[in-house]
Formats: sequence, structure tokens, C-alpha cells
Amino acid sequence: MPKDKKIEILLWDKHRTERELLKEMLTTIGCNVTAVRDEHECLRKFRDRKYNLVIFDQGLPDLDVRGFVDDLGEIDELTPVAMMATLDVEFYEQKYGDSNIDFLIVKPFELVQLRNLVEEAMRLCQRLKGMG
Amino acid sequence: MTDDSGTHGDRRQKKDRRSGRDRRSERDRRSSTDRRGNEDRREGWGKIEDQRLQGALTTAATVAHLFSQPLTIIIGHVDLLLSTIEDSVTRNKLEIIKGQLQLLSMTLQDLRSLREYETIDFDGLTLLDISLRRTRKMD
Repeated sequence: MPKDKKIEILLWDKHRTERELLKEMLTTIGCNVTAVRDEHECLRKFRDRKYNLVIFDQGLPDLDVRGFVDDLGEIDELTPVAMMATLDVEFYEQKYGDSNIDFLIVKPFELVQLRNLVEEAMRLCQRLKGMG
Repeated sequence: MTDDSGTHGDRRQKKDRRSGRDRRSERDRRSSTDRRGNEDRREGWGKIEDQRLQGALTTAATVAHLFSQPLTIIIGHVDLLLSTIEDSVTRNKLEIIKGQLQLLSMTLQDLRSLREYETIDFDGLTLLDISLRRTRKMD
């Protein structure tokens, strides 16, 4: 993780206990976390400033995943997006393989997996910005 | 009127009753107890196996989905404690807890990866064969 500059993460998780835990885990890794509880707040924060990674929880039955990710892409398509998931990876690849979701992190995950996600997202972020 | 068998009016031979064969039509009367539709009969029992698999897959996905969040929270807090606590006794206990949580995570992954309906006999009880063989080997 770069020591000179904090990695900016936008985290959307409706469940308070999980949101607070993930914020603490990401802070431990060395990230600066903006944690929000609903979709509109997430999109508003995303419009307001630049982030290095957006992490959101898919665990809402009525969430229009594709619509949400498209909204993020319209604001800034160069910011990597990660979705926290609970089912088989194959299911998500079939359903959202062609969407703007860059990473899947399947629950339950450990601190080391969260760190790997952030590191991979930073590499992708740099690559995308280098291309842009 | 009572016949040899003590029943009224039933003139079938004992062997007919055992076989379930109708004396007049020579048809097997038990055929009418088959409630499967024509389509099911054509496919044999395959469709029921498919239904069992569907039931198992639905249950597996539900369990994986419902258990994922609480496990994430428990594992996350254990990891955070391990990153701060220096006391070796407490760390050792946390490592044991984490090891068991990792086993649970592997079981959830097995449930997610379920593709076939396979059962296993577990002391006379039929269980879904997810990771039981692997668990036995590990023990």
C-alpha cells in the first residue's frame, strides 16, 4: 500500500454492523473510507469527489445491480467497482459478466482478501488512468 | 355370504389378491395408484431426481447466502483482534477460532459449488454429500 497518499474508498453497505466492521478493516489496511447506508447517498458522494474504489454489497433482494453500476459508470467509468457477493462466482459471471463490475469478493472473506482486493483495484485504477 | 377368507363377495383367488391382478380385466389394479403424469412415466424417475437436486441447490444457496454475512462479521473481528492483541494465550485462542471459521467458510464454498445430488450414509441417516468425505480425511 502506498504510504504517501491514502487510498480513497467509497463503501455502500446497508447493514450497520457489517458497514462499521468493513470501514475498520479498510482503515487498518491504510484506506480512507467513506461509508454510506443507501444507494442515493452513495451516488451523491460519488459525484462529489474522486475515489480509488467503490465497494458495494449485493445482498439486497430488490437491488437493481446493473442499474446501480451503470449509474456509477455514467459519473466516472474509470473508478474500479467491487461487489460483495454471497453466491457462486459462476452465477455472477453469467449474470453480470458484461457489466461494469470489476471485482467480486465473496463472503465470508478475511482481512488478507480485502487487502488483496484493494491492491488489485489500485493496480487497475493506475492502468485505466494511464490509458485515459 | 361369507367365503373362505371371511370377506363378503370377493371371489378372487388368494394369489390374485397378492398379485393385485383384477380377475376380470386381467389388469394390474395397482396401476391406478400411480399418480405420476404421462410425461413423468415417459421419463421414469429422472424428473424426481432433478427435483431433489433443485431442492438441494435451493437449500444450499439459501444457507450460503444467510450464513455469509454473520461469518464475515465474526471473521473480520477475529482478524482485527489478531492484528492488535499481543498476548500469546489470547492470540492462540483466536487462531483456533479462526481455523474453525475457515472450515465453516470451506463448507459454505462446497455448498455454493454443489452441482450433483449425491447422498452419503451417516450412521444410518442419509445426508447430502457435500464435504463429509473430505472432513473425515482431514480428521
